[in-house]
Order: sequence, then C-alpha cells, then structure tokens
Amino acid sequence: MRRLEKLVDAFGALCLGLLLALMVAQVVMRYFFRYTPFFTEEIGRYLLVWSALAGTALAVRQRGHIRIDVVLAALPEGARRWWIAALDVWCLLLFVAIAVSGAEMAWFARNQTSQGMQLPLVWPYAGVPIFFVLAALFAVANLLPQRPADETTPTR
Amino acid sequence: MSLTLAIFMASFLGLMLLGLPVAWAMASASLIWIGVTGQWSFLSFLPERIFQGMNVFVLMALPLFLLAGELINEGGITKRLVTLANLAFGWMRGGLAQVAIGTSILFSGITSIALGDIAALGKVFVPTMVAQGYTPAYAGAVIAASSIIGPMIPPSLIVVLYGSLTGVSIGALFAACIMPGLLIGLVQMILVATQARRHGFPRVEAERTPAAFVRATGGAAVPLMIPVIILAGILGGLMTPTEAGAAAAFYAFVLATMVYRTIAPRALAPIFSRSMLFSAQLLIIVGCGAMFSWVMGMENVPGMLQGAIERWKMTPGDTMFAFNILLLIVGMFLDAPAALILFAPILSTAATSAGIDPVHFGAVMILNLNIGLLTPPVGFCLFAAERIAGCGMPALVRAITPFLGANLIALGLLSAFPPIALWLPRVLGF
Repeated sequence: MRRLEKLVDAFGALCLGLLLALMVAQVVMRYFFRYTPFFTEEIGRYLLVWSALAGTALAVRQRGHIRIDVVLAALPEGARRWWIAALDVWCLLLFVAIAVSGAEMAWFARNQTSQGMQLPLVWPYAGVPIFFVLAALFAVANLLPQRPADETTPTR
Repeated sequence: MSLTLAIFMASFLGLMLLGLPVAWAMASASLIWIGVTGQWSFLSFLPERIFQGMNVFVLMALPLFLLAGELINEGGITKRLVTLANLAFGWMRGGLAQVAIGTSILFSGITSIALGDIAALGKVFVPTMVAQGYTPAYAGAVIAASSIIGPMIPPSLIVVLYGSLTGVSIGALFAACIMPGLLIGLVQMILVATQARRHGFPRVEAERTPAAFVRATGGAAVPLMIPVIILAGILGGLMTPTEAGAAAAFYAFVLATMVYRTIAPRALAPIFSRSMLFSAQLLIIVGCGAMFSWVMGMENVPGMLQGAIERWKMTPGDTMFAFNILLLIVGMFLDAPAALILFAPILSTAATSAGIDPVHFGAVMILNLNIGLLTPPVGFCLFAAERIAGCGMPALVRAITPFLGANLIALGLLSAFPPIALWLPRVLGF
C-alpha cells in the first residue's frame, strides 16, 4: 500500500512537472519562434485533470480533503472512530459508483476523438475510473487498522 | 422550492455538516438527486461533469501559482521582504505589528493563498513580537488578519477560480482586487496605530538611511519579480493567466535551483507533490461542483433567485447588502474556495442582472469570503494562526475581533464605492 501511494504521488507530481514544462515551451515557442503548437493546450488540460485525479486519490488516503469537522471534533474519541469509519464506507460506495459510471463513460467514448488533436477520448476519460478505483482502494486501506496515528491530522 | 430540490440541498448540507468532505458531499447529493428523481440515465453525467469541470485551460494556473510560491518561499526570501518592510513601516508606533502587516502586503505578491502567508510569516513574526512584549494572541491575530491580503493581490488562486467559474475576465479581476487588498492593509495599519498608542507598543529601531533603503529594495526586488511577471504578463496582454503562472513558476525554479541554489534537486519532488496535492483538493471540488451546479440548473435555482430579486424589487444596493450578509454567514462555515464554487456562478449571474458590475461584485465576493477565513467556528486562517501562536482559540478570537471589524469596514467601503474596485481595471482598459 505504501508503494502504491508513492507511485500515485510520483505520477501526480510528474504530471504537474510536465504541465509546467509544456506551458513554458508554449510561451517560448510563441515569442521566439512565432509558432503556437496546437497540441500544448489540450495535452496540458489532460495533464491537469490527471494530476488532480491522482492528488484526489492520494488525499483520500491522507484524509486531506477539505471538510467541516465541527461535529467530528465534538464527538468523544470512541464515537468519532466509528463515525469516521462510517464516512469511509460511504466514500467507498461513492467512489465505486463514480468508477463504474466513469468506466462506462470511457467505454462509450471509445469511438470519439477529441476536437483539437483527434486523440481517442477514451484515454483522457480513463483517468476517472482508474483513479477512483485507487481512491476506493485507499478508502479500504483507511478502514483497516493500520495507521491510527494520522486519523485526525488533515494536511491543511 | 420543489421537493426534489429540498432533498438535494438537505442531503448536501447534512452530509457536509456530518463531516463528509465537501467534494464528496456534492457528489453524493447529486447521486441522491438522481435517485429521487428516478432519472438514472443522468448517472453518466457525474464522471463526465467531474472530468469536464476540471478540464479547463485557466484552471492550470492554480497548481502553477502554488508552485511558484512554494519554490520561491523555499528559497528563503522571507527575510529580504522583512528587511524592506522594517525600514518602510517600523518607524511607526507598534512598529513590529506594522512591519508584519507590511510584509504581508509585500508577501501577497508571492503567495496565492492566505495559509501560505501564515505559514511563512507566522514563524518569523510571532516569536519576535512576543519577545517585544506583545501577547501571543495579539501576534497571532495580526498574522491571521493580515494574511487575507495575500489572496487579494496577484497571484491569487481564488481570483482564478472566480474567473473560471463565472467567465469574468481574470485580468480585470486581478486588477480589481489590488486596491481592496491595499485597503485592508491600510485599515489594519490604522487599527494597529490606535491600539499601539493605547498599549504603548514600541517602535522598531533601524538605520533608515537612503542607502539602506536602496539595499533593502534591491534585495526584495528579486522575489518581487513574481507579481511583476504575473501582472505585466496578464494585464499587458502578453500571456494568459496559465502561461503567466508557468513563467512565474519557471522563474522561481531557476532562481531556487540555479541562482541561489537553496533547493537541492532532491528536494524538488516534495515541492511539486505538495502543490499537486493542494491543488487537487480544490480541483476535485471544482469537478464535483460542476455536477452540483448542473443539478441546480436542472432545478432552475438561478432563475428562482433572479425571480426573487425582481419580485422584491431589490435595488443593486439591496442586492449587494443581502448577498454580503449571506456570504458572511456562509464564510463562517465554509472554506473560501468551496464557498466560491458553490455560490459564485449563481450569485454572479443574479448580481449582474440586478445591475451590479460583474467585476465589482467579483471583488466584493472574494474579499467577503476571505474575511470568512478569519471567523469562527470554521476559519482556516484562525486555526493556522492558533497553531503557531499557541494561545488557545478563545484568546485569539478576542484579539482578532477588532481586526474583523476593520476588515468589515473595508468590505463596506468596497461594496458601497465601486470605483475602489473598478478604477484600476478601467485605467488598464478592461
């Protein structure tokens, strides 16, 4: 599980790095070569979505998603544990629903191509089911009694 | 209100208050709405909206702005800004508190979120202020209150978010938020000056010669190129906000890795991954928020709001007042970006049809929700400042109350006098 987290983390950071390189390249090309590549914007958008989806999955594991924890904080320790577990189960079901309908979406789009690059849309779309499956996995991992220490330490 | 809409809103609010993350509460409520209306064919809209909601060119500016701030901050530039602020503001009574606010104004050109401001400046100013006889709570209050200048002055995540959600020009919004940002700094400085007279806060001794000023300005100029790149790039029409973000991040990258060499190549990966994680937490709310807005559109919520404004014959002033009150209440419970994603599309349309300039309303809404970062029970900046000051929440809330009052005065001025926001964009030709 640790290794999977590292992998997702690296993938998301890599997408962001590529996004930065791509946008710098776009500006350089436009001002120094008077040529704006037609694909940088589209690829950039897909990189953004993929890095965001990777970060979303990872934030599930780290319990970093933005939430209102007034009620959580008010609960006594034991009840809070159960409450968090109940929320995790709810999230798990939600992620499975999004992953399944996302897989359907990607499958239906298998014959469509994107407007700019004529790229098969199934590739960018596939990010939704892939990363929500990962999010579901991380939600399961959160339910297992492994790392009790970080339960209430959101990253922000 | 139809029954399905009531169930939709109730399930969203309920789940969110029970502690489900905001994004998942939005997605869950949308799924429940689909179930209640029985229109299961809409199920495929959920992943589609999440994808398309994030698949937006200007949103790329979000992680890039964050990256620029993280890279330059890691490069240890805070000290240079403090030196300049010391010379410029330290001569006043309550010097160190004034310097903290002044540094916040300078730093706002580098950070795009209020929390970044607190993390960087809190560690510098809270200990030194306490050493000079300020209470920890007061030091925390100054840091928290001035941190909301950060998201007002470019680069700013929340401005990009507002523009992408409402279609209002991001360049115009950037220009419109600068004066309000400086206004907050001004009212807070006036407040500190009056408090300093009463409590006898000391001045900051420093050698204020022209030569020292030139040296300090030169030192601060290198990091302050970030806002210059972004402002000149966007307002000069040279670059899109996304490209300006990339240029700023690239500048910070070169500075930190090659010029100052403060960041080892190995330390780069965590910086990229932090920016990625943080922006993902916002972007997923944008994605799920796209689904949420779609359901609200299906239920004709924007139309109902517009109808209410017409039925009650609300003037632009009334509308501005009513929306401000609504947003202040919302801001007490919701993080600014989340509140923005929920309310900006609806309120911006309604405000425009009520006769308010969309850029002016954008500036008001952004300032209003930023003030919400400082209000209990849920105020992220308050939490962050308390963690650094360690003074306990009640003491901090007491200390920050006058600052909240000052901020509300600034909000009132901005709401009542559109030129505060609109003068600069007009001059720049938006």
